[in-house]
Amino acid sequence: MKILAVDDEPIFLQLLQATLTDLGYTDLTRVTSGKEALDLIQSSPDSFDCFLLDIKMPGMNGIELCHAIRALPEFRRTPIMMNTVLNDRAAIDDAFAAGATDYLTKPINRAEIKARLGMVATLVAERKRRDSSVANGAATSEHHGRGYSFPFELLEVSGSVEFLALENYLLTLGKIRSLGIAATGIHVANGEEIFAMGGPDGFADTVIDIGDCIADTLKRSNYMLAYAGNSNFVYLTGRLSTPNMLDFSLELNAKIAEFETLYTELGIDLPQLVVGAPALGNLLSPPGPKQILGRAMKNAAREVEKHADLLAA
Amino acid sequence: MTSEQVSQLDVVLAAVKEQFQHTLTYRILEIEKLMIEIDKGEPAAPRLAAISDMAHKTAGVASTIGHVKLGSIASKIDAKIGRIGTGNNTAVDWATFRPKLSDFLDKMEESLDVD
Repeated sequence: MKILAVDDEPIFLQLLQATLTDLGYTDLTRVTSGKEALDLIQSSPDSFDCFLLDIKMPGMNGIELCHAIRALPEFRRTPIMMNTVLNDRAAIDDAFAAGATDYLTKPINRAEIKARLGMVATLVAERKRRDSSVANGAATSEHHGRGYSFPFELLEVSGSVEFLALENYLLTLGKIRSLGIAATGIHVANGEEIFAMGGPDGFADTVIDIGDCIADTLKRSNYMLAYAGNSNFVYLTGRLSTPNMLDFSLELNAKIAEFETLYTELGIDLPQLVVGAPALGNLLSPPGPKQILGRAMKNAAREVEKHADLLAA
Repeated sequence: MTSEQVSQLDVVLAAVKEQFQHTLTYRILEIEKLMIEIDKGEPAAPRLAAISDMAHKTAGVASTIGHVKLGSIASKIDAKIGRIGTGNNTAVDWATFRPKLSDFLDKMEESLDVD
């Protein structure tokens, strides 16, 4: 895995390189400024599989660099891990909003960096395999051959992040700070039928349409949205600013209904979107702040069961 | 981890520690100079920003190479200066903040004595 590390402290870069080499990641390029990094990335678009960015740097800071990398089409999906001393809520929020996949705080913790980079390496390997299938004609698109359960990014959908980033965001905030967050699940009740009718590509297009509708409905709130696979969407809002479930559901379904003519022409059923009650963090709940994502999706599934007769009609 | 890998890591770590010591010496002198300038009434904001940058860089490395207390105090100094920087009463804040900066310098010097 080809990694680019950006940090204005050369001593830290040396330490990082020693640690990564020790973990088997030997292909590391080091630069000490955001500008240098961006010049390097732009001059060689196939050059890096993963970025490790410091945040506080003179000139272009790590958040700005993260934004700039994400704006390059070749790197829209490349994992970006922030690696910084800063652990305040604003820095974490800004990093994930800018497109960071993960967030590590200094000092270097060998076990932590091993686990988090291991996850990134798996992701990179999967994407390379898929890109190569598309390139050699074995697959017609990046969604080709993907199962119904597969989570994917809602590229171009405002406020969206990949599901892994949403999980990492909650892990970074930790249990106490996650108490201020509400997670809401949305389930596409007829998702399996749409997948069967449209195939992976048609289903992916529908998921993007739904993502756009959710983003549009949430436009007055601060939120982070992800698609978790299996027809499940989850979005995070502030605990006190989460929209009313019923109002949100009505507005969302009205927006998707605007696609009815198009879907009819395509021979695909209109998605039935069911919104669950928001899941809130609780000090007594099971360990791991990302548990609220699972609970949010369960709440949506419960609503589907509750209204099964209505949905079938 | 093989013994060869361990020794390679040790070699890098020893070199990094030595470099860190040199940097620390430079930063101690630089921070003292900036503090004196602020005491004399020179504009505080750019000097505090420079101190914040040095504290930030120290925080990133210190704990990783074993100077946990120094790393922690450096982080606090960095965060504190960030808050002062946004306030309008730098002069008042400087009076209360200066002793904390002196503690930071003491901790940096202690770290020089350790290795």
